[in-house]
Amino acid sequence: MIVNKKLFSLAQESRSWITRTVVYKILKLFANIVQVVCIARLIEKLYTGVWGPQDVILTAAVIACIIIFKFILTLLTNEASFNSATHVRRHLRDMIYAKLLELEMGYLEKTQTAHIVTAAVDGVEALQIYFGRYLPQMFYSLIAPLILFICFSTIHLGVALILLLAVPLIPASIIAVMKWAKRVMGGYWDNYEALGGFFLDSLQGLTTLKIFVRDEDREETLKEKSWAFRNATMRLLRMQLTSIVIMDVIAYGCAAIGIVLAGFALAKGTISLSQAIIILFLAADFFLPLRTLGSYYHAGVNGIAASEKIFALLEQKPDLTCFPREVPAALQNRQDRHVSITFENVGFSYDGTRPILQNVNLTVEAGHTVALVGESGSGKSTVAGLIARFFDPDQGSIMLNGIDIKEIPLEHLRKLVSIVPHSSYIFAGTIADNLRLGNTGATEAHMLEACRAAGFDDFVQSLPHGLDTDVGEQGNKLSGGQRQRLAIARALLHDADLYIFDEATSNVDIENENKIWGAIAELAKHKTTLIISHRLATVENADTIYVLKDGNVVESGRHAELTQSNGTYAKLVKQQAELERYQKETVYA
Amino acid sequence: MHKQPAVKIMLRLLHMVTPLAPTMLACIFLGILGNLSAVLIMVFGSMVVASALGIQLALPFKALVGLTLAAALVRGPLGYFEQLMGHDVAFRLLSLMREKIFGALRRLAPAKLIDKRSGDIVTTIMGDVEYVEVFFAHTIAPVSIGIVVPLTVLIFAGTFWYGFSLILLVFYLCTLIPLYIARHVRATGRNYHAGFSAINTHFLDSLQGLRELIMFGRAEDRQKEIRRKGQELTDASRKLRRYEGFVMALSESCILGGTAAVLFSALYRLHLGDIGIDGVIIVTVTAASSFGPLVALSALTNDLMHTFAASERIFSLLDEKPLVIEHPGAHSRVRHNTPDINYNNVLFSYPGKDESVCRDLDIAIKPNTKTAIVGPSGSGKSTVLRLLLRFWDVDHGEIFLNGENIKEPPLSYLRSNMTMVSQDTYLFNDTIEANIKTGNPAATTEEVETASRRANIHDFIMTLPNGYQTRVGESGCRLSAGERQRIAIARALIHDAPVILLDEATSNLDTLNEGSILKTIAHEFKDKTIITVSHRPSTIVGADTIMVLDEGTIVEQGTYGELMNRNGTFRQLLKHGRADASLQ
Repeated sequence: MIVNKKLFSLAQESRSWITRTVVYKILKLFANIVQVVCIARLIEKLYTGVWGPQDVILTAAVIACIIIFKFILTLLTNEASFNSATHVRRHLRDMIYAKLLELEMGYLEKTQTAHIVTAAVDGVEALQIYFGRYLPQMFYSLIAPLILFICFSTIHLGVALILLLAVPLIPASIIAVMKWAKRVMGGYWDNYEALGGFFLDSLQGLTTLKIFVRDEDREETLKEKSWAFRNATMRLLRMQLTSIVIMDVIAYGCAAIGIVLAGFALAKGTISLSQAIIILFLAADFFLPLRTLGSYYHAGVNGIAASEKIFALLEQKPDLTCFPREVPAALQNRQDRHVSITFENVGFSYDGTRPILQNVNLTVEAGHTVALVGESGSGKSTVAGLIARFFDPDQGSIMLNGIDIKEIPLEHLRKLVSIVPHSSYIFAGTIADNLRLGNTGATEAHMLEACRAAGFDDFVQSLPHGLDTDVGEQGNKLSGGQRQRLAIARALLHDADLYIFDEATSNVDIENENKIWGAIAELAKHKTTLIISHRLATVENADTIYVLKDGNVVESGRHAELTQSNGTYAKLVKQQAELERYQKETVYA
Repeated sequence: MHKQPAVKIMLRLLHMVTPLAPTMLACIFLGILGNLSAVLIMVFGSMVVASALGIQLALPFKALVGLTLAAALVRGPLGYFEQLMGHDVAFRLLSLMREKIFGALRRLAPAKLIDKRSGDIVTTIMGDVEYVEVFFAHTIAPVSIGIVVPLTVLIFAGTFWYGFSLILLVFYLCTLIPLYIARHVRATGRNYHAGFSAINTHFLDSLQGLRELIMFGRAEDRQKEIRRKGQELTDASRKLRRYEGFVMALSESCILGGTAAVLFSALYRLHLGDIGIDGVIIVTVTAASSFGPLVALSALTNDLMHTFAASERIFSLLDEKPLVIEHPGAHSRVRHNTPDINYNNVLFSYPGKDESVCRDLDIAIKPNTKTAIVGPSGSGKSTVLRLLLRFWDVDHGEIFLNGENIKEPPLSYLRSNMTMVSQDTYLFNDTIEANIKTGNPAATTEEVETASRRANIHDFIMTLPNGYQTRVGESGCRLSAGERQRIAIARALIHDAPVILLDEATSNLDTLNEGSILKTIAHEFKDKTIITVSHRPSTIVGADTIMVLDEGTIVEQGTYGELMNRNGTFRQLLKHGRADASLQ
C-alpha cells in the first residue's frame, strides 16, 4: 500500500506520535476484546443457570472500567494523531522555507513562484492528513487482524483462518478497481477545474459579454459544460462506489460466514456459547480498520503526489557556490558611501545553452548615474540580478570597489545594493509595516521623510490612518503606481549605497510615472544609481548610457554623443520621440 | 440582503428536490434498507447462535443462516444505490443551480457586477454551490435514515419488553448530545478557520515576497514569525480537536453503556422469567449494533450551518430584481450606420445613493463626430457612457439614439450599435483568436487577422508560441496592459459598430504605450462616432467637441481652441494634467 520511505523519513518528530496513535488504537482493541469476553461469559453463565449477584456486579464493574478506559484512550488517540499532523505541518513549512532561503534568488527567478507556493501550501495540507490519519490507520489495519486472529484461533482455527485470509482481499480489490479507475479518473480533476474556471471566467467577463451581446451563447456553453461535468462526476462516483461495494461485500460477507460457522460449531458442541458470542461480536472487527483506511485512500494518494513536488524542491541544489562569511577589510568602516561596479567580460546563461549576456564590459562609477537601455529581451534585468548576486556569471567577474562580489557576504552585499524591480512585492499589513522592512528601526519621522522623497507623502497624508493604513493582501488596496512608490520609499529607508531601478515605471500610469521619475532624479543627486529603462526620455541626463542588444553592449556614452552616432540608440530615440510628441503636440499645439 | 430563517431556507432547498422526488425517495428507501440490513446481520446472527443452542425460534436454523448471509450480501449493493441516487440528485441540482445563477447574473449584470466587489461575489458564489452539495447528497438521506432505523430498532426491542425501548431511547438521545453542544464550539471553529486561513495567507505572503525579504535581509525574522504564528494556531486548533475527540469518546461510551444497560435489564427480565436466554442474546446484540446511523447523524451537523449560509446567499441573488428591464414586445430593427445621440435633461443617481451622478444633462452628438468628455474623477464621466449602454436606466429625462428612446428597442439592438473599450479590458481564459472573436463570433480567421493588423497587435501575436491559438494567461503569454488594450481594439474593430465608446481606455498605460495606442485609435476609428471619456487631457487628440463635466453636468463645451481661450475649468484641468517631468 501507499508508504513511501523517503516520505516517512520526512517526519522524524512525528514518528513517535504515529507510534503512539497506533499503540492507543491497539489498546482500545484489547479493551473491546475484554468487554466482549465479559459480556459473553455472563451470558454463558445465565445460560447454564449457575450465576449469582457477584457475577453481575463483577461484569458491571469491568464494563464501567472499560467505558472509562476507552473514553481516555479515544482522547489520547485523537491527541496523538493531532500532534503527529501538527509536527509535520510545522516541520515541512520550516524545511521548505529554509530551503528556499538556501536556494536564494536564482531559483526564484527561474521558477514560477506559483508552483512553489502550491507545492508548499497544498502539499503540506495533504501530508498533514497523510501523517495524522492515513499512516497510523494503515499500521493499525495491518496489526489488528493479526491480534484478532490470535484471539480467534484459541476458539476456532477454521473461522480464524477464513477471516484472516479474507482481509487481504480488500486492499487487493481496491487496487484492482483503482487500476480501472485511472482511466476514468484521467483528467477528471482537470475537468473540474476547467468548469470552475469557465464559470468564473464567464462571470468576470459578463460585462464584456453583454456589450458584445454574447451572454446568451455563453449560457448555452455553460449548460453543456456543466452537464458534461456532472456526467464525468457520476462516472467517477460510480467507480468509487464500486470499490466500496466490493469492500462491503467482502467485509460483511466474510463476517457473516464467520458467524454462521460459529453457529454450526456451537450446534455441534465444538465451541461454547460464550465463544460463539465472541465471534458474533468481533468478526466484523477484522475488516473495520481496512474500511476506515479505504476512506482515507484519497488522502494517501494526494499525500504521495504532494510529497513528490516537495521532494523535488528540497533536493534542489543552490546555484551559488561561494558563501564568504567575512566582510573584506576594504569594505569595513568606509567613510565614503559611494560604490562602483565593474563588469569584466561577463557572460551568463540561465539554462546553459541560450546565452543572455555575452562578454559584457561596463562600469558604474562611484557617484554617477548610469543608464542601461535596450529593447525587452536584451538582457538588461539580468545585469541587475548579477550585481545583487541572484546568480553568478558563467564567465568573467563583477567587481564592487575592485573586490569580486563573490568575496562579499551576501547579506552585506545586499546592504550595499538595493534593487527596485518593475513590480515590487508589497506585504499584507500597514504602510509602516512595509516601510520597516527596509529598516527595522525606522522612526515615524524617517518613514515620512522616505515617503516624501518617493513622492508618496501626499497620498499617505490624505489617509485617515496615515502610515498605519492597511494595504491589503499583496498591497491590493493600492494602485500599481502607489505600490511602486511605497516600494521606492522602502528601498530608500534601506539606505543602500547603490540603487538599481529596473523598469521601475513600466506598469505604472503616467501620473505616477512622472512622480516616480522625479523621486529617482532626486535620489540620483547623492547616490550611485543604475537605471534600467526602455523609455529613453527618462535617462537623457545620465552620466553614461549603455545600450544593450542581444546580450551585448553595442554602444555607450552620453545622450548627445549617442544621438549623433546614428546607431541603435539614435534609432530608438527617434521612434520614441515621435510617440511622445504625438501625445503632447496635438493637444498643446 | 435580509436574513432568512434556517427553516425557510431548508424548505426552499427541499422544494428544489421535488422534481427529482422519486429518485430522492428511492435513495432514502434504499438507505434505510441498507442500514437495517447491517443491523439485521447481527440480529439474524444472534438468532443463529440462539437456534444453535437448540432453542425453538420462529424460523428454523437453516433459514436463519440463509437470512444472515443474505443480509450481509445485500448491504453493499444497497449502499451503492443509495449513494448513487443521492449524488445523482445532488449533481443534477448543482448543475441546475449553476445555470440559474448565471442566468440571474446575466439579468442583473452589469449593474450588479460593475463595482469592485464583483470578484468577491463570484468567488463566494462558486464556493457556495459546492456547499449546497452537502445538503442534497449528505443531509436529506442520513437524517431520514437516522430517524427511521433507530425507530424500527426501538419497535423491535419493544416486542420483547417496552422497557428495552425506553432504555435504548435514552442512550440514543445521549448520542445526539453533540448536536446541542456544537452550538458552543461553533465560535471556536470559526476562529480556528479564520486563524487557519490567516496563517496560510501569511505563509503565502512570505513566499511570494521572498525576493524582497532576501534583499532586505529580513528572511530569518520572517521565518521566526511563521513559527510563532504556527504555534499559536496549533494551540487554538488543539481545543477544537479535543472537542472532536470528546464527541467520539462520548458516542462510544453511549454504545457500550447502552448495550450494558440493555444486557442487565434483560438479565432482570430473565430472572423474572419474562424472556428466555434467546431474548437476552438477541436484544443485547441488536442494541449493540443499532447506533451506526445516529453516530453518523451527530457528525453531520457541523457543516450544515455553512450550507444554510451559502444557500441564503445564492437564493438572495436569485431573488434579486434586475434594474434594467427589456421593453415588452421590443423587436429588432435595421442598424443605422450614422446614428445621432441625444441626452435630454437626464437625471441619474446610483441605486441606494442619494447624490445625483448626472443632473440636467443635455448632450447632443452628431454622427461621425469625435466627442471627448473630460472632467475630474468623480464627475460622472463613465456614468454618461454606462447610461447610453443601458447598464442602468435614467431616473428622469431620456436618451435618444436616432431619435428613438433607448428604452424602446431590444438591448441587443442597442448594444450592436456600440462598442466600448474600457480601462480594465477583460480577456477570457481562451485563445487570442476566441477573445478577438468575442466581438463577432461569425468572423473568419482572415477578418480576425485584419483586425489585429489594424490594431497593431498582429506581429506580437505571431511571436507567441501558438500564434492566434495561444491561450491568454498561459505561460509565455502574459500580456502587458498595452497589449491587452490592443486586443480590445481588435475586438472592437471586428464588432464594427458605428459608435465607439472609450472609457478611460488608455489611463492605465505609460507614456509610450498611450501615445502609440492613441495613434491607432485616431487612425482606425476615423469614420466612426467616438465618445471618449477620460480624466487625462492627453486623450482628447483630434476631438471635434470637448465637453467638460463637473458634478454631473456639462459646464463647458466647445473646440479645443475655444475652451483654451475661455480660461475656465478646462484650462484648470490641463494645468494639472500636464505631465512631462524627466530625469534631471
